[in-house]
Amino acid sequence: MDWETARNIVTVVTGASAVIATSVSVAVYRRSRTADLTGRIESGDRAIRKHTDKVVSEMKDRQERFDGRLADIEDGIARIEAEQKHHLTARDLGHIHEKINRVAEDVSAGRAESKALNEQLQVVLRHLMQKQGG
Amino acid sequence: MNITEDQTKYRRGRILRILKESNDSGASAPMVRTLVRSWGYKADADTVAIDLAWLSRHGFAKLRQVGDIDFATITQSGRDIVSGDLDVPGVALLED
Repeated sequence: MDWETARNIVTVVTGASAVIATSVSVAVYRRSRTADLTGRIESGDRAIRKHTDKVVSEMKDRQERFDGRLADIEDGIARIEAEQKHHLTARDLGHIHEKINRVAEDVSAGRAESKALNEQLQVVLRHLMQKQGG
Repeated sequence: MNITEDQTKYRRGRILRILKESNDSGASAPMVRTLVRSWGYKADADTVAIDLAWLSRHGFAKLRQVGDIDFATITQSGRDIVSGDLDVPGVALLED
């Protein structure tokens, strides 16, 4: 084998090695990249799920607190309504006002009547006194 | 003088008091009659009309007709009688 042939073989082997090395590098890169993306997506999903679970849990807690407060308010309203049953309502007061108005009318009429009686008594009295005097 | 005649002067005094309490338009004869009757006087429409005419003739009230209804307003002389500043025969006031 002469020197020229040996040099050509080495060149070919070197080129083939370079091509093989490049292909292997690309393949390794692709595989690692895919695995990395999948890992990141799964990691993101886990984070989102964790965050969602946390928010849902907080919402549940707040809802339970609100439910508790609402129940307290309902109890309070029920107590107030129960006590209110024994209080006077506008309707009851309306009846009382009507009665007071009727009494006031009667009093007014009685007062007018007594004034008229007083006037006529005075007329009679003065007439009798005038008669006795004259 | 019987009591019915004696009552006339008191009735006129009461009419003057009613007119004094009325507004500037005065009071209609039916209104005066209703009020006079509420004070215990027996007063038919003619009696009230005669009293108002008497008061008008002596200058204690002024009469005017609105439609078929007589309206009476008190004059200054009438006010003087009610306030006790003027005494005239035929009109007498009783204590309220």
